[in-house]
Amino acid sequence: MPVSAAVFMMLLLVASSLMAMTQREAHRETQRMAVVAAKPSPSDLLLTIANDVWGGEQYPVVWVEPATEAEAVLPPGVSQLPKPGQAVISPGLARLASQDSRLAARYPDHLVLGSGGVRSADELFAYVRVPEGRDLAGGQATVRAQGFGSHPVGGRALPLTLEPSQVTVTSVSAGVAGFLVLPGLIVLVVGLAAASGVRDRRFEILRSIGAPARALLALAVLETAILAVPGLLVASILWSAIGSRVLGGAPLVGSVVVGGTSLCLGGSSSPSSWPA
Amino acid sequence: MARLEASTVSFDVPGRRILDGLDLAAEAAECLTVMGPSGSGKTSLLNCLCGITAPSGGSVEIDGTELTSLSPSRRSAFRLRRLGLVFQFGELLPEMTAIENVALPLRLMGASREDAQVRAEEWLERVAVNERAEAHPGELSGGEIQRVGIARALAHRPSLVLADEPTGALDEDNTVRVAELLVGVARELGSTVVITTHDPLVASRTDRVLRLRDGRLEQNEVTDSSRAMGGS
Repeated sequence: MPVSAAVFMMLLLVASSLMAMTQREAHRETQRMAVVAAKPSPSDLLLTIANDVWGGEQYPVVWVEPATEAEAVLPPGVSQLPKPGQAVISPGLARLASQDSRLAARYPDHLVLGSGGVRSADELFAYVRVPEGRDLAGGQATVRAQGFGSHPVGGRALPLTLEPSQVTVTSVSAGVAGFLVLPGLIVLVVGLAAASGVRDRRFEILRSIGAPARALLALAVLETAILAVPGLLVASILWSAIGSRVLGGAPLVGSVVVGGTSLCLGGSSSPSSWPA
Repeated sequence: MARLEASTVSFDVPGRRILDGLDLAAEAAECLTVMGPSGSGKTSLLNCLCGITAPSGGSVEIDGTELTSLSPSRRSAFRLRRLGLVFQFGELLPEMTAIENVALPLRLMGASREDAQVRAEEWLERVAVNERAEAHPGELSGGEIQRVGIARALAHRPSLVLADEPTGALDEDNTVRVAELLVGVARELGSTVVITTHDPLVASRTDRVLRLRDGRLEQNEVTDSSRAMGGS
């Protein structure tokens, strides 16, 4: 019984971690959407979504330029507007750039995006400010952003991705329910059934002598707790110790799952210090 | 004291009729035996009489309370307060000591821990197992287990005692001691007693013997014990 409780708890923790991770990614993607300006404002930021390719993977590169001399709105994760020609790249891209000089040459003197600006810690993504002598104004694909995040009622917002994520909270929910929670429940029920012979006899005796239903219920809850709590505790401790490493190696269809939360990277500015 | 009346009680399991329109009446403070071979339906009959199982048909009335018309929870409450059950193997809870087992029904009825403890001690003394009060069932002999079981069944002074093969797992010496104890103490309390057994040693200590065959009670014998007590 404690073993089946531990297995169930472990699967439940994996499931909830995946759910939380997917929800966090979805939230960050929403926060990074460019809210299209309904009317021009001096603080607008002009941007155009392009793409780049590295190692066979295509990733978005967003060209940016302030609409006026005034201070422009900044995307999440960008603490200061880059200088002309300078890039602000995602932690994942920065890590790759630190390993390959050819990629580093594409983004010389780059800044690194904060955790709030990327979907996940190894997402490849870059903002690049257009160099001196070029501008985005008047371009057909240019968008005038008045801010970032959820679009206002009646407004429009542009996701800064090449294509919408195929991994939705709903699909992940269905996945974890089908492949983790359900098998976990089966393990738990089988464990309970296997351990229930003695308990069944005890409850039969108590019912025979006329024990009230509420007393039997209280006893059942207490017994189950006593049997299950050690397993739940062991699973929780084990998961807190190895969970992030286990998830770090788990592939999700259509998405790369990375170790830990990108919030953990917030304090780091050195690409070499980021986890693989 | 309870008057028991079961009328046209039937009990079916898939593909088989265990009890077939059986009638049974026991007067208040009467002690009777139901005999029958293994598989004849003795346990099913007791389960129907005490309300653990709802009969497929017929009715069971104890002192004017129609047991079969009560909800399962009310039947449980009735069983706890009015009935005492003795089982073939004692059926003590293995995690509890002898005294805790005897005190259990009292505690379930709302008695304080101290009160239940005192009354359980008295009953263990009455069935001569008081020196093993703190022993767990695994440390008791078969005869001791059964005597503790009798103490548990009688500690709350039930008006009706139902005993299912109470000596089925005992040797002859213990059979006689347990049967005399059960019948003797129940008579002292004035409880009505129904015992199922296939042992004539037990049957001879009760007032009347009924025989269960093919789901019906066939004979009605008056025992020597009853004659000795002036019964008809």
